[in-house]
Amino acid sequence: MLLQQLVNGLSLGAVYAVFSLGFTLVFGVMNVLNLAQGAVFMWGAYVGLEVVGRLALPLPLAILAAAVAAGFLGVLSELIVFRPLQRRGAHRWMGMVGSLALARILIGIAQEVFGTQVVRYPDNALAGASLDLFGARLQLLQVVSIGAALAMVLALTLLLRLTNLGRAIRTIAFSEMVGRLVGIPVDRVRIATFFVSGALAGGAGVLWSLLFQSVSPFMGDSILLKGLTVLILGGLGNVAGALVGGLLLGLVEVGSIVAVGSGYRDAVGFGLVLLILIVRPTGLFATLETKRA
Amino acid sequence: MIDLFESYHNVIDLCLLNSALAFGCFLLLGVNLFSLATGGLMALGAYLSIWLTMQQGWAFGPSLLASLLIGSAAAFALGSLVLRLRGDYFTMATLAFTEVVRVIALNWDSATGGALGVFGIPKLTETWHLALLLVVVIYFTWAVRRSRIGERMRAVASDELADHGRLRRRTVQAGHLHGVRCDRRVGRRVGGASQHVRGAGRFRFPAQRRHRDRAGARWCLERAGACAWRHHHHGAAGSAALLGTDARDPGGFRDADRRTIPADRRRLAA
Repeated sequence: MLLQQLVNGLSLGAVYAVFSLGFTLVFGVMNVLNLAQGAVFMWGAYVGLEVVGRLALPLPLAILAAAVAAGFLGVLSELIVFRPLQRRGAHRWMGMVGSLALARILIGIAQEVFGTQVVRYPDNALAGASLDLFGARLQLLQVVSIGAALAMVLALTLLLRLTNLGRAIRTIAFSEMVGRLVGIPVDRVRIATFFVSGALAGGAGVLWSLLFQSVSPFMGDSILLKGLTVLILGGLGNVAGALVGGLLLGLVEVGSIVAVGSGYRDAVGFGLVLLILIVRPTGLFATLETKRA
Repeated sequence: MIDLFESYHNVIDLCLLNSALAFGCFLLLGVNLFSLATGGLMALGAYLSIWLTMQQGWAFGPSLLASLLIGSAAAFALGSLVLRLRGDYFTMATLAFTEVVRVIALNWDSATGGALGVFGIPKLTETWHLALLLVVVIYFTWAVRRSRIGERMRAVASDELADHGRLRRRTVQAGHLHGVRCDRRVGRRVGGASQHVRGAGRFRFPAQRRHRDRAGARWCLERAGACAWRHHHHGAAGSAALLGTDARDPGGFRDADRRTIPADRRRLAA
């Protein structure tokens, strides 16, 4: 029972973590929250569904296609919201509001294109397979979700630490002016950052849809709030913090379902955020702001 | 015209209501705080007024007043908890509050009707009530912005250093900026001393009194950074010399003519 709940919590938290990684990456580089991330997540899920359903291609290809498509949507949010606003010297909150408007547009388009009904992925071998471990029945998909989340975090960490793009991203995260002074093509690096961020959201969208067997135009709203929660738990702009925060939130939510029922799941999660912020006002882990200071 | 009003009076009511709510957000934005708690506070007031009028038989006026009070009390309690947070952390904490209220409202069926809500609410609010409310809110906001409190709000918005409570932490940060390993203990001492500097700044530059919060605090930050450096390299006497304070009488400081002013006079100068 405990192991079963542990795996349930970890697989849920893994999706939260992957989604939040993109969030935290953009925040780390630009110091803004891209509130269109939830809509990008939803579009990723729909693209994956179309690839699996209409084109009848295998699931890994669907995840890849969803990640690429969502990556381009992430770039779109940079090109039509954040960059124009930044060039006009707008306050960073304007970027948040602009991205929220973009999210509503993307949701509206999805409603027109795919309808408002909740749909599900067709049955596949991955979703149906399960294995017994110490008396607990684990879906193969849950294990894959956890593994995929860990792999994405590892890949992102390696990207940030070992590649030129990663160094450029970290330099711009420290100071955009310093980045320009040392000759980094800031605009291109920002586009690459938004692409990676969107791709992570798209991948998370497919994983989420497979785990919960539901895709709808409004699925991004709830995960957007969860992503913000994870961001706060892990510390704004902290990649490792996003992973730990996501897993922690998943475990807490599953624990709260067992303890007080599913109705109060979100209240427990957000209550935890309030509590943590009161005790540790900059999140559980060191944040970008702290490091900068 | 009347037909148009009859057709769209719900939309007009909604516009008036949202405008009044927007002023609540505007006041907080005026001090660089982006709050998402408005929805949660509104929900508290709404559910309380429904409960009082429909279950307890209260009249409209008293229930409106009670809702106002519960909203204010909840905002005060929330503010006491989360005003130590800044920037996005503050925004997220207020969002968390709203979400907790929303989830409780969704699940507390006996009081709130759950996801279906409450039916048969008597429509006691008229359009002119909302228009009057908006006029009162606009006047209140205008009056606050023109008052001394409004001046302080603008000072805080333009430069958060005017927020005295953060001065100590800023001092530690200033020490870092000057390349000094400035621990909290030094920060406390320098931060405490920097309050004297701030007083000295006001005393030496009386023309700045009208903008003393902002100008004094900025000057203080610069001096505090240098002071932290001095403190690190030359000890308390070094920083005291820079601050114009007397190391034997840390409460006193020197005026423009380098005369030491005792601590009790300092308070007068401040």
